[in-house]
Amino acid sequence: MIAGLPLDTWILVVAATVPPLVVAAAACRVHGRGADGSGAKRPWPGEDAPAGTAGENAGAPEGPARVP
Amino acid sequence: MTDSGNLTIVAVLAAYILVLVGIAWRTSRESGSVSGFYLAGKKLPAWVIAFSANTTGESAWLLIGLTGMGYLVGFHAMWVVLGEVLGVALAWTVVARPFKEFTDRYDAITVPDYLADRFHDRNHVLRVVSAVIIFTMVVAYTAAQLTMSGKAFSSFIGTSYLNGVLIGAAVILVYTSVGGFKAVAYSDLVQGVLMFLCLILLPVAGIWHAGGWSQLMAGIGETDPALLRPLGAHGLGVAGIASALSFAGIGLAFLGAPQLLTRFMSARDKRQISRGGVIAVACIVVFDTGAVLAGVAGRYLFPGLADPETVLPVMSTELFPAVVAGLVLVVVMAAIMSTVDSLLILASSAVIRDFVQKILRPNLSDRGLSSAGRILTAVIGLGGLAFALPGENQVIFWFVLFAWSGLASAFTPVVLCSLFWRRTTRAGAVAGMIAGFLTAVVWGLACDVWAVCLKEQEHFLNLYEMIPGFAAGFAVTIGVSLFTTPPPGAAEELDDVRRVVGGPFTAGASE
Repeated sequence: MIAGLPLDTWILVVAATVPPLVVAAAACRVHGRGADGSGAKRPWPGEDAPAGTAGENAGAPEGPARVP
Repeated sequence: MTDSGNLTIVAVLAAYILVLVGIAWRTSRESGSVSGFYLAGKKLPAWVIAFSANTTGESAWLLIGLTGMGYLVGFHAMWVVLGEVLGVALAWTVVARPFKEFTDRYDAITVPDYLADRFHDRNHVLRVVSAVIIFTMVVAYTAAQLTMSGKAFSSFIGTSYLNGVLIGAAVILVYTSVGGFKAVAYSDLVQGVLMFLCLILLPVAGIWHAGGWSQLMAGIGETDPALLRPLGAHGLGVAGIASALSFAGIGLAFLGAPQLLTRFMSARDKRQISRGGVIAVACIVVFDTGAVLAGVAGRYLFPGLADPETVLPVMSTELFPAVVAGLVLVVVMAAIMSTVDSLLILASSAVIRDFVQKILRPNLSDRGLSSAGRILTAVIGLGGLAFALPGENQVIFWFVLFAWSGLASAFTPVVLCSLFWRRTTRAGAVAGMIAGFLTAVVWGLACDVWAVCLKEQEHFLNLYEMIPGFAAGFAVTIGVSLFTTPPPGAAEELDDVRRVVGGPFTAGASE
């Protein structure tokens, strides 16, 4: 028993929830952005922005820039 | 419920209906073409398609049926979660991207559209078979969901059943026929967020009222230790394994049910699908786990309910103030509406696109077809309403049990073969579609007859009908395809699509 549930039930709970999320996240990492970097994660304020990319980062100046 | 409580619930419901009508009004301008009305012009972003797919796949069954199952069998119901989460993950990572690539190449608007082009179906056999299956299943499904709408209104605020059905039908018909697919998809997003919040709130409140997780588990263990076991009261045996497989099998439908495949077609591009996959999987984990845990908590807090499927209304009215109970009614209505609206659009598209535009009147203008689509959507809804008005109808009730499995068994094996097997032929697709559909329906019927005749509750026919439906669909599609010839160029086209989209974890030529 772990936290009131048998181990085999925990195995079922983890199998039902974690691996599918990992699979979807891995596929998104491969396919979720364009060849030109479009769709890349937006940088947080203070982080380096990707250089001159299109799509969601359109308008960013050429070369690394600081997000205000 | 007191009068002031009822008034609060009605106010919450009225605000929600105003939001839906507002969405329909905003989106109506963009539904003037067939593609605009049935697929929102293929411009939808990841969040919208992810929530729309999940709320369409999960009707009021999630809130009423799965919470009731959690109440009845405890953690054994986690097999439903396993099946559905796996089904959603595979659909978004394996099926969606090649399907989107094919349908964009064909400029397809419906699933029969895709199948007809994929297999060079010049005499429209695939279109007709698909449209007939979709149309019959959807009218029955719509009637049953409107019946649930009548019951939900009467149980929460005490309206008559008739008024409940009429209110539900009026709201759905207005925003679906005015706004088309875009209104449906954005309403699904709003409805999905409400369902998401409800299925976090209910189990958390249930666990808190039970005195915490440890207290809840100890209490459930004392009630019946089998509620904590993964195979429940059946244990490790044929009945236990069949029950677990049946629960898990429910999720197979996410791989190819036509009402879900249209969400992939409506995406702005393939990147939206990749991002939507993560959102959809995370969302379905919360939906399903929340429903099972709410049911388990309800079993501890409210033991001895005559009908386990009343656990959600009981928890919401007993544990929360009227305004939250009103929100839960809205969430139940949202679950009903988000399924019915998508099915109405699906059935309407099967007639307008696959019969009228492609077979009967190919020269009709885009605007004329779109207008016909609006009228037909309302007519199909009114047809469902006519069946729902007399009250709970046993024929409809029986029919709807097979609607989900019938639709999925007819389309999923054929769609999967068309996307991943080079030898699939038109004859194989037609035969597989009919075999999958009939097997699911006949198996379900045989199960009922067997149980009534022999008074046996546990037998191999208890296996969920979608599993034999899928097996028959695959076997017949593959078997017939091996004896017939694929259309010229179909195998090469499949190779090219694979090259362009890549694998689930490998980039394609277009990336």
